[in-house]
Amino acid sequence: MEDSKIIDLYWDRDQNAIVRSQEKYGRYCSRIAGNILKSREDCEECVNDTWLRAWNAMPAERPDILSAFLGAITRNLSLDRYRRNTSKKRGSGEITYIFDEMQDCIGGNEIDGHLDAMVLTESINRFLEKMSQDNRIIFVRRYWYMDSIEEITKRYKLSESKVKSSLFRSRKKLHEHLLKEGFEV
Amino acid sequence: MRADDLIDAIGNIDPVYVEEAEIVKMRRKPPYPILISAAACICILAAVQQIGLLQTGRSGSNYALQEEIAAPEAENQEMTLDTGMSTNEEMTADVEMEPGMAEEGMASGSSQTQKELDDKEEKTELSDLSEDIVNQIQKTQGENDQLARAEAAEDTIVINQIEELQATVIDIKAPEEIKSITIEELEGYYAVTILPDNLPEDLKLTQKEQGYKIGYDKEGKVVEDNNQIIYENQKGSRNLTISVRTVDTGVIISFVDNNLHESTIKDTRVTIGYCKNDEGGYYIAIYKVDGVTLTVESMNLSQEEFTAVLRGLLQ
Repeated sequence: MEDSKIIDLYWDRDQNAIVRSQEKYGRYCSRIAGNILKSREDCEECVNDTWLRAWNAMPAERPDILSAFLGAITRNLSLDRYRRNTSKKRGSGEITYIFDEMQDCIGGNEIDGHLDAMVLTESINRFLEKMSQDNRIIFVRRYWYMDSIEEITKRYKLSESKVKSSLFRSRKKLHEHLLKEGFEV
Repeated sequence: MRADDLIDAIGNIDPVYVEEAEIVKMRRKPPYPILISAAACICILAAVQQIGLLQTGRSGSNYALQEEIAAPEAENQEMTLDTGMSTNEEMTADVEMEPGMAEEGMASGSSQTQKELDDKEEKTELSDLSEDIVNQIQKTQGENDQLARAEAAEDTIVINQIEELQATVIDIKAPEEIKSITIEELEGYYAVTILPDNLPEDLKLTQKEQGYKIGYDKEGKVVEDNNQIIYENQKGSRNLTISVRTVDTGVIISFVDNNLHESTIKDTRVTIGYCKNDEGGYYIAIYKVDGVTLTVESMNLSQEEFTAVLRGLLQ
């Protein structure tokens, strides 16, 4: 079923919206959750909660890109679950490395303080816009989808060194970009 | 700022970028960068003719061919060349094969050195046989060679210089059921030849950990069947990858240039691309037969070996 028709089902408060979403994007969302959470039960719960969140979010919202909309919900739910599960200690798996890699973008110092999340997102959007498409895709696969390096190399048939160097350069550039835009990093 | 802030902010980026990373085509360079930039497209008509050009025998032809490709004046020109077969025999397609006779002579992809070794071994083994039998076998092998050459002569091989390829990832429809099958079952499933029987001897099939898979939706319709068969030599320096699918899912490699010349092999239209550098050469061939799309890629195989594999697949 086309995305616009699935969105119409949400707007019409037709419960088939959830069935169709699950059918079309179940695996997509499961993969995102699976990259963040290791427990299968946790993944399933986050994916199931995704449809509920989407149900509650619409019709107030009408997403332009349904996959990204649903994926973002899954990602947020999974990250929340991850943080709750691991509390202060870091967990294991790919996301541990991703948190470590993020240190490159913030200069290695975590500074607490007020931060307007929307302003930061807009700044990152400007950064992404300037990137080459290939580097941007690798960046988004790693830090949005939380794909492992191996998954990215397989997906695009790139060498591991190519992926790693692309990510390294992107992180350095993001750090410079954030500094330039006045963020405390 | 904390790493969490950044990760959360990335989670809210423009959905266009999220979608782009999921489905949008990503161009990629072939495994080796191009050193040859002068020749945009080289058309090579492979025909066995008694001409002076490149009559260097089986081993020499590949190297001579590459030199010809590298020549700046070669741009958009057509060349007729010897395919590397010996030229001291009269060509004929009208060859009778005796039932049950071996087809070893058909494998035209082996290197000169390997062939010499094989010939030597065969001669040693044959020494105990009566002269009549030896003569008969040699005659048949010679006829088989002739048949292979005759078939090769009917093919038109066009090698396109390529600079980049496009990788498209299509991964939306979730299969309801995934069936694992063996490589033998795989060939039965596609109902076309996907396992060439004339591979270079050093290439061995690599065992896939997860096996080969076919994904079905709830109506039993195939929604995912993009499988890869990978052959590699012991050192990992030479390999051959055959990607086969009937449904456009998974990683799909395509040419960026839509105006490439096509080859004809065994009456099938095949697009072949090539690039090389000091480390070796990369060939890619894409074709469709009976609704099945095959993408054949090789690393460090000679043109002769690569086209022999294609002939094996298209027999």
